[in-house]
Amino acid sequence: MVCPILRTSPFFFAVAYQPHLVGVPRAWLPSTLINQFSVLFDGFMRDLALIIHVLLGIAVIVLPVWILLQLKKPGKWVKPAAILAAAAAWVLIIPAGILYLLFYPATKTLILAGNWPWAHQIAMETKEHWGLLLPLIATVAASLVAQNKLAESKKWWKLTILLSLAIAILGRIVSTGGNA
Amino acid sequence: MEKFNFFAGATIGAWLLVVLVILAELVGPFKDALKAIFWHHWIGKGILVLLAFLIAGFWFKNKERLLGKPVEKLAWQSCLASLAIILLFYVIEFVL
Repeated sequence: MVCPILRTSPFFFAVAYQPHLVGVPRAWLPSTLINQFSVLFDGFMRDLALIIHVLLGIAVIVLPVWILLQLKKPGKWVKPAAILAAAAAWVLIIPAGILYLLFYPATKTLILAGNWPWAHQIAMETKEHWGLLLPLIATVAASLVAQNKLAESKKWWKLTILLSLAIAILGRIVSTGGNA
Repeated sequence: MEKFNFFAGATIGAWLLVVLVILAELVGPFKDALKAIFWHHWIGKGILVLLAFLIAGFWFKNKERLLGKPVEKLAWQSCLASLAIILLFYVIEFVL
């Protein structure tokens, strides 16, 4: 076991992937140790991507809710919040892609071999493709706020919130499917 | 004069996503081509939808109506239809 502080340190990353950068020739390290470091590094990367994914997902729900609450008496922060919500929806694709493309295939194998194969074939496939539409919808909503068409933007923000919640629920179904 | 038509971009992007999802699942060589070009079919779909959004947004920047409908209404209906069709498609594909 490696202590959590060491696991999250740049030194640990360096040893895991480029040991010579910290003065440790790769040949000096037993292959089992390198494998262990790689596994821990992958685990850390997955956790980091997951945390960023969840935080951005929350932002894409909380910001539109806040914007909707502000629309009756819009203050100076409504436009920046709208742009931030749309930006979060676009950036969200990066951790989502890392999780889906690099770490999900192992879970997918478990799901397809388990009792809930539909958790991948319906929930995950739908979730990942709905996720590609989310930034477009949030951008349309933000563009309306930017043009001072606040009333027209309401239904687009509501759709952004509902879609984000639906994607989160589908994500929960997928992770439950991995254990079924 | 508008610089970018977000509604037109969303409309074309939403429908292109539907086409890409269905084609990639039903036509094996198409999915393989997406993988060969973009490393993964999902990345390919994302990049193509983004490009469609940008190109349509600039291309139709002065259009207030598309296919005889107000572009805002068309964008709204297209996004809802796209979400529904994608879900239905995967349900039907799983059941069949």
